[in-house]
Amino acid sequence: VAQKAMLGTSLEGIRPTYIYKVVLLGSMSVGKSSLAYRYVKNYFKELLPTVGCSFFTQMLNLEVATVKFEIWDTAGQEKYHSVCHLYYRSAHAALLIYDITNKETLNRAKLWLKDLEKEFLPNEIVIALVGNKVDLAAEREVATEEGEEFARTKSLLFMETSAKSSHQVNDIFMAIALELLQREQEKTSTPSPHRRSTVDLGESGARMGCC
Amino acid sequence: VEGDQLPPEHTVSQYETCKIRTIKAGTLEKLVENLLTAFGDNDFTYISIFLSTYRAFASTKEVLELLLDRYGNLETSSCEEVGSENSSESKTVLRTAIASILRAWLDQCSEDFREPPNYPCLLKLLDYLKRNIPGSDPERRAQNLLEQFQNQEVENDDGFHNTSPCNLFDEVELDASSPEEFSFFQEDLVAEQLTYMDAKLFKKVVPYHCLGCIWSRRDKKENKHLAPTIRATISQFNVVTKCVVSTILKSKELKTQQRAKIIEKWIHIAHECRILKNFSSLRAIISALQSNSIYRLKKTWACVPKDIMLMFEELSDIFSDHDNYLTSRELLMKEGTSKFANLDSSVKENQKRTQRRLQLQKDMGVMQGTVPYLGTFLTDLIMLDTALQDYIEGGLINFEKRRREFEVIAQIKLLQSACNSYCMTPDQKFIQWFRRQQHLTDDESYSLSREVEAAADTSTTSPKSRKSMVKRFSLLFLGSEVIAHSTPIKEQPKSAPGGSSGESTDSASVSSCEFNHSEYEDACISPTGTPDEPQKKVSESSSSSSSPTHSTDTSSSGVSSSISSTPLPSSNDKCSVSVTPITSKVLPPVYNQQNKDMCIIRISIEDSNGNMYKSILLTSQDKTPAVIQRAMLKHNLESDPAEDYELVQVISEDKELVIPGNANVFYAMNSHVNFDFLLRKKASVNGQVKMRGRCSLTLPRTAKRGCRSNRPSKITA
Repeated sequence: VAQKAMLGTSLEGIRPTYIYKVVLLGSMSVGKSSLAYRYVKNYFKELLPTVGCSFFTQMLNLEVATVKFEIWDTAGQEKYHSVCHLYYRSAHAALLIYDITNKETLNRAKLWLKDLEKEFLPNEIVIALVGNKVDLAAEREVATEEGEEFARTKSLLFMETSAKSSHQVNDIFMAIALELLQREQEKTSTPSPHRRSTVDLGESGARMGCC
Repeated sequence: VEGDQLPPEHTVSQYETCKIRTIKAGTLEKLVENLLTAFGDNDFTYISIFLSTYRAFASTKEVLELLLDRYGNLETSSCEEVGSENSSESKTVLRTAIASILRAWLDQCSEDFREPPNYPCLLKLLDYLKRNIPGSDPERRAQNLLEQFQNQEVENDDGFHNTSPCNLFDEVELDASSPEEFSFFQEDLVAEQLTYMDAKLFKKVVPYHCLGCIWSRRDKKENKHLAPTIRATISQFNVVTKCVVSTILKSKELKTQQRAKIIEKWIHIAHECRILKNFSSLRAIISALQSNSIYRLKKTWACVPKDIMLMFEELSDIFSDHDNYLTSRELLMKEGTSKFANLDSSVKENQKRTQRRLQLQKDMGVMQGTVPYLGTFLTDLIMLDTALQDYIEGGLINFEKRRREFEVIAQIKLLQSACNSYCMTPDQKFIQWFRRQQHLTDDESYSLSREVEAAADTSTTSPKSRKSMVKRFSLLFLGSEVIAHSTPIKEQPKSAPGGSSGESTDSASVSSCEFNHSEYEDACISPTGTPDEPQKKVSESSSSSSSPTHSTDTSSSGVSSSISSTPLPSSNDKCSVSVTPITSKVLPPVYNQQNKDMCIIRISIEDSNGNMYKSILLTSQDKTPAVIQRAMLKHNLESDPAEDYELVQVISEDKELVIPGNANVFYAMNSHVNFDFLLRKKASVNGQVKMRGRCSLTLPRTAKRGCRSNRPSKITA
């Protein structure tokens, strides 16, 4: 459950701000980091942080709400087995990224999906399957239909992107934002009498907005 | 002068003017040449940065050849290159510079020269030193290094240096006669031994292996042996994790209490690791305890005493992902090179315990090193590598990037040297035990976990499964409305003042014109499916009305065990590229019962004989006008203006409830009586309530028919 920022909820007419954790999953060099960089690129060109940064934030101002994405990348850490699980534990959305020029990476994405299925209930997380590197169409090993078909059977969002040419990078994040917002709307309009009370072990849980 | 904009060629001339310039980019030749210049400028940072990062853009051989043959050639008249008139004086200067650079190289990056079996670079370097600077300190170092390498090569048959954890303790003989139990080992001993292993491996990490461009090549087959020193620390980390899991799960016959004791013990060990500032094993233990198969053992965790749980939470908080792992980063910076850990605990008992331990250490004069969790550094470096270009215009090496990387590398190096403060000795009994531990795969440990504690009964999960059903239906009806609502996307970038991550204004917008509309439609379920469709499904199965017992105690164990992957045959195939996960255990909405946030209502029209009921799916989203519209559609009244109608719930034979014009019907309605409604022309309101038969009896109760329950039978382990 995303934390609604305190500001904006009490006053009517001000759009709520939602903070969502989005994780990027996928094999090595499918372009996870590049995709994130492409998405929040300008910010990085202007203002590189002193230390490297394993997560990015991006604001989206939509008509109904402000969405703040916290984009997490496991870059370089996927070999720390148990740590990866913790990366996506409290995520609201996941991008399963594969490389359309490398069939193996789609298989790996399917394994990630299995992991996610273990961790989340079907409606708990928005999952998007992303075939990256469409700029390398000549070397394509995975047909668009194949990714599409898999996404369809698993009810995932699906898009093919290119971090290099920027193709549909914004779009996929936008689709995720809209889907999350929609779920949010359903949730808020339903004050559930028996809201799930999860025992949160080791989760920081509440994250407050700062905007 | 910062930010030199001149082409790098010009920087050479700075040798004379002694200005300190910051090289931003250059060819390999110029970067190497600048080593000498930098030495003259007392810019030792440049030399460190270069030596720590050059492997990203050049080989040892290339750099050595440039340095020694081209710029460091003391035999020919190469002095012109450094622009000195006095040849002998300049030779002395050059000799000093080269000697210093080589010493730094041998000191800081000795691994660069480990090229068994022939060590060509080291031999070349030795040869140069013997000829040009005989009897010098660097020469001795080079000689020692060569011998050291050769000795190690003899020790390791595989010709590869000793970094894998399996080789860590070759001196320890495996002695099968003393199979110790985990309980045998004191918590502080376990922590100390883990730290001993971790520190040993961490000190061996070759910093340049961590560079993004090196580490990011790790998965290619031909690079199996790439960055072995990093792989060794990671595999140790994973072994610790697996060791934690297997000690907790492997004995099926353990009582819950006993198992809880083992968890408790590991929390204590983690705490000891924290005192020893071993963040690697600390993280390994914490993440093992948080792994699916352990995390879900609800009953076991319930037996862990409260103060220990608090300790666990405090330790977990260190690795909270909040703000890019700010806590663990700050802690590392604060304590990285300090003598002792500095623990604050809100738990008194833990606090006392910590103090005792720290006092003991101080009394014994023990200094503490620090073992970081390397993963954070690796990610930071990969991010830098992704963000910054290797080359700038004209093919010049982007040295600015290397500077940035060096900031991270320098931290690693600092911690490595701090690691020398540890003084620990291996405990053979423990190491034998540790090596004997079974390593379960994820699946194995998960199924063991299920044997230990079966999945929670389905009642705990049903509220959620209903939610997903709600989702499914509400999407069908609301998809278009909601989507229409949130488009067009406004392009209103707003910067967040003071946000720690500081979004910039211009990056914050996503332009709506770029938005691909066909893609867009793919991404949301179109509301074309007529309401009949889901409704049919609903009525077929709506008798599974056994009210799900809602458990407020939905724990993580319920969560992780309730996954069912069988998708419901989808009625809307063409739209399911989309958003809604469909499960087989959705609980359908029913008539006369509000399940969580949806139900079925029946609406008749006043003028008919009262039997013409139409069922409508009502979700908690539905406002009166939408419901009226849907009902009109069902009753073929769509030609009439919707404003003429109002919605009335028939409470009893002489009572009715007029649903206000813009109410949320779901909440406005009376849920304690039949969900029977009337669609009525406003004009006809006369306060007089007509008599009506119990219409529900005249209708086939579809609910009775399809008794198929969609709820899954209890999932068993």
